[in-house]
Amino acid sequence: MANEMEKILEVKDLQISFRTQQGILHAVRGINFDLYKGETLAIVGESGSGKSVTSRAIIGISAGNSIHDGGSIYYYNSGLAKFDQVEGADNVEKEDVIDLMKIDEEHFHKLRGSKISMIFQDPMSSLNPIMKVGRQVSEALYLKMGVTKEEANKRALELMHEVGIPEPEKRFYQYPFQYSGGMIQRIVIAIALANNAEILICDEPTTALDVTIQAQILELINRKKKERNLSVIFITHDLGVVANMADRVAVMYAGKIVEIGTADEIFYDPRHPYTWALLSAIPDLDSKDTLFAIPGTPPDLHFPPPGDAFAPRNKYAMQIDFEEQPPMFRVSDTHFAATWLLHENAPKVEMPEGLKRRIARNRVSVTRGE
Amino acid sequence: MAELNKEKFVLVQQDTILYDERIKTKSIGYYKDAWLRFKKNKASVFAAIILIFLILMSVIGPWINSGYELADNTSGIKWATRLKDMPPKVEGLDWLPFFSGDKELTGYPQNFSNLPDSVNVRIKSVNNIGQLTVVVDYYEYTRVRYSALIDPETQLFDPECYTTLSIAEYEAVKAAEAEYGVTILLEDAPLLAGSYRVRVDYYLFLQYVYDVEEVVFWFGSDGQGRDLFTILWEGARISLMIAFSVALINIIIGIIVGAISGYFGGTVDLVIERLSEVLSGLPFLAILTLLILRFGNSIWIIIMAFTMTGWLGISALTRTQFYRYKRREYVLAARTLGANDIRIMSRHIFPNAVGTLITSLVLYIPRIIFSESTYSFLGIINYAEATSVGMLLSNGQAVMKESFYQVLFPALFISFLMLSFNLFGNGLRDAFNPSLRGVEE
Amino acid sequence: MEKLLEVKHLKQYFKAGSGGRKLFVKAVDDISFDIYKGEVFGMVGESGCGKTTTGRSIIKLYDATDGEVYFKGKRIGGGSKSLAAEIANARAEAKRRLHPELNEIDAAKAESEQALAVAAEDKEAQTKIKADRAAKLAAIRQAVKDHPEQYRLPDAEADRVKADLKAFVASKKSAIRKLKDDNAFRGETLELMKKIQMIFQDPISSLNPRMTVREIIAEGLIIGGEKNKELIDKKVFDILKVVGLLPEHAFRYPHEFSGGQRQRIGIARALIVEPELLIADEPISALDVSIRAQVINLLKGLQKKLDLTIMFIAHDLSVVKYFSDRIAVMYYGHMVELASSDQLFKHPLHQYTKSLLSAIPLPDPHYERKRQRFTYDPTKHDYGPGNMPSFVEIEPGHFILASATELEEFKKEIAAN
Repeated sequence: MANEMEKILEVKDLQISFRTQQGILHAVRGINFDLYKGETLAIVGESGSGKSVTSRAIIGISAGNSIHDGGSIYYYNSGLAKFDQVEGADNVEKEDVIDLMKIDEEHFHKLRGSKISMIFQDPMSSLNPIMKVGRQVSEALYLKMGVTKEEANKRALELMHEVGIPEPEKRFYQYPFQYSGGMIQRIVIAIALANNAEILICDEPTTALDVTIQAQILELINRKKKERNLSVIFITHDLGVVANMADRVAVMYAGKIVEIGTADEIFYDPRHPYTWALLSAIPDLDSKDTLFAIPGTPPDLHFPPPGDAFAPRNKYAMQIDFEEQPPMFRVSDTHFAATWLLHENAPKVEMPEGLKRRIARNRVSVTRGE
Repeated sequence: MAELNKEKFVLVQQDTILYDERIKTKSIGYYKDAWLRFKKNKASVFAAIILIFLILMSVIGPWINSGYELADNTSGIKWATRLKDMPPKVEGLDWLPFFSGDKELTGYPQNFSNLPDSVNVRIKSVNNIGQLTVVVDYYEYTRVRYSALIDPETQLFDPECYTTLSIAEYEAVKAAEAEYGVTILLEDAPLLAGSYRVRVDYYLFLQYVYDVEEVVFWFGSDGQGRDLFTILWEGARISLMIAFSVALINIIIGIIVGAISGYFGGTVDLVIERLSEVLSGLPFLAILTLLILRFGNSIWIIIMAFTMTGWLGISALTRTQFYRYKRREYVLAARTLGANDIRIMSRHIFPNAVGTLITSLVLYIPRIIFSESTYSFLGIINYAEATSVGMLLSNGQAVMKESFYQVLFPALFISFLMLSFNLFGNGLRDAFNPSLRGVEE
Repeated sequence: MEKLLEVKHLKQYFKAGSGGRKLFVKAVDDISFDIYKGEVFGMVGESGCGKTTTGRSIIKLYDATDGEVYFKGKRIGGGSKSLAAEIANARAEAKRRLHPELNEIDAAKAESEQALAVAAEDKEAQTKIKADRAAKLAAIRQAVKDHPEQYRLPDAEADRVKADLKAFVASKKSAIRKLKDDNAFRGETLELMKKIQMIFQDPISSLNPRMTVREIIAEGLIIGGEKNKELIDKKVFDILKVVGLLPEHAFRYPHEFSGGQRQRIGIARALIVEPELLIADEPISALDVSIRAQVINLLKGLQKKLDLTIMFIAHDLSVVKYFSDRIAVMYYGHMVELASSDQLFKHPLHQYTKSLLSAIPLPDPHYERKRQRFTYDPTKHDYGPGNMPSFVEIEPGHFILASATELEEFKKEIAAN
């Protein structure tokens, strides 16, 4: 697949930490992944996994106390003038590659909105409460594209219609408090896509929404992705949403990617114990087996563990897990997992029974419920 | 990659029950947390130190320079007035022009021509009607004035330098001369109508008869010859005592009323709110004046005046805090566990509100001080028992031109006090906020 | 099976606005259900459907507007709105019977209102209509004066009407008094209420940040009068172990714990007083996925071990199905369907239930690609006077909110399945 698809982002050994009252927090400890044009990459992880930190680094809004310890984020064919600070990129010829960790705020201004956009979790605080909604949409347009106000307003109305706001002419002049959570998220998506960005980062946009509204928003994002050939990074902890949205999935734990692969591979052939745990933790509609709950809590990243961060909570941990961090082992061209269980010396361990049964059931049945 | 030992690939914890880890960081309580944050704010710590110093001085200050008790002595008091309006003098600092005991005088040249050298007359300027403005060592000048001043016109001793002693005082002088071998009497006189009109070395007289160790006023003396240093700290005591009493009473009333109002809401809140509105409309000055007219001028009346409506602000603040916290889920949880209202108010809501309340309390005190000082300055409040700092200011204002220090020291005191309280209060507010980590406020 | 909790026609209205523009937000609008001892009763619905309000009304954090709540056979709460309405109605009716001319007056007024509405612009016509109405009213009043025997009941009958009214009002009032008595936090009600506990949604604000964990958990014991410090400590340490924490955690403050741990502390707090009914108000919504499983397993284990009855309120349907024996679906204050969890998922009947189920994403890419979602359109019901739905048991254990016609269709659907 890699040779057919065009690479648009490449994250290489990214390391970010934060200065806190209790010391240095190592939030991201060396992650690698690629984003291809037109695909949706889901980043799954729980609180403290580092997924939000990563996404904010891509769009350049890391917190003030963040420290860039190492690594790069390469953005290909951005259209920004060609820079020279390319080290370790695939193609050493003067290609259009920029390192997002090295460019300054001014250049980020050019990228945000027109190239990379982001939508956030809490709809209630995403919009300016004292500015009319329509103006917030058109503002995005005439600030960036240099169109006149009238044109911007017209285009804003079109956008509002595109994202499914009913009676956009009336809604244009309303304030955010007159909108419901789901409608605000639609507006946010409209603003994000107003300037035809090519990368859309969604940071848990539907976590705060009801299930039916969530479904509507996800459908909207998928539709826009098809229409505009967007590349989407979708951050979430809800595996159901991932199954709906993602082409490829990266699973993060304690600042590292523990498994990455296509959606089918991750859901039907997971290899890392943490992925097993995540999948087993979701109640199955068909069985009443005890949920496999991961005991304990994620480690305090002020004190990053020397070995595999998941080891203390891992039923399948081996001695070496406590001593050395596992590298990424190859399962297939598109599927990699960082677990010593894939080492040739490791005992043959299979995924938990309950999970195996569930996957078998999933493969067979195609419809559910009705 | 080095050859990995096969033995390491053994599953180690398949069967153990995994518990939560011990928490690695240290536990910090609420007040300790606030204290750590407070310490970082240098200005507030400095202000706190000044505050402690001022309060300490108001307690022990009057005892420090108690070498001078003349103004307290009923028979001595008439002698004290001779020492009025003396400038500040501090031994050891008398090379500073401010603390040298010098004062400016204006008069005709002959008034100064026959003063002894010890008075150290220095001519400053001449005005257009021939008067000289000179700077003199006022302490010496005063001594000479009441001991051996020669009238320029008659060339005789100026009547002012004669002292009328009572029989007891005369005997005491004689006794002291005999005992210590000092010459106090400069010119003796016979008993006339029950008293002796003599000339004495004034300072020696005060020293041996009235136990005045040394005539030195650190902050100068006021219009009645009282030591400003002592008077100031005594006045400070009054001001601070009033401020703290008022604050305490108002806090207690305010918290109780505000808690009831905020916690129960509904009709109770409505009624209390309306009553508060009526009370807040009462003009403070009118109340104060009426109370003074009716009950006289004692400190308790003043305190009562301040506490009649002063609690309204705190009550409103407490009420808001209670409204804010009473719908929190842990309050609901306590209620489901069967907690009664008192318990919820005191154990669940109040401790969370305490940070804000302490801060507002500290910021409230300087307002009381300022208010009380203003009214005593204006003369509306006029304590029988003591002179408050505001009154000092008012007295000093009258002689501001010649004796500026009489305004300066009380003003400095009030300024430093209020500034420190405000900085300290600000520091407290910042220390208690953000109240707690992990709580979304 | 023994009924532990019975809810009958519960209504919870909240006042919004004031004076003339007073609105009632009908958070819970007439729901009835029972919870049996030892079961897990799930309640699902989207935000604003009233599930949280129901839980809180049962535990009496809100005063119910109407309806009754019975716990272990004793009434512990209720509202008197319907009783008050009955009194008002009876009074109005008696008034009509004693003064029948009121009906004519009303008719005349209604007529003139209509005419006024029609002639909205015409000032002249309006004045004429108003004059007409005044004349009519005067005529009616004159008729009453002139012919009292036509408009007044004979004295004996009138007295009887009044006496009946008085008796009726008195009985209703005493019913209201009894209700208020049962509702108050004292005596038997207080004792019974201690057997119902709640765990809350937000792990951050459900624990008092100024109390240590030990103080938080021991609260119930201390309020109950327990003074023996060692006994309290022992109980606290025991319950901490039960929820998977260490005794040394008892001396820490809530902010030092993660969300999942805080939620477990909340569970410990509720369990230490040994409740019989536990109302879990969205206990896992704010937690991470793997932590949710921990808490769910904990609750499940505790439920079995302590024979707890749990009312589980959530909006995550998969979790609710996994954990609950029976599930009730709420929609804007109404309970639209109630069935065993298997039954609900296999054969949902109500359109809202179907739309809700079709919207759940499952962690299965193949299924997701083929899933079709349908939306729920409440107007399709076409409810109105004469066509009102009621909550009926369409088959054993399966209740549904439907009008008579809809009921027929549902029966057909069941037969077809």
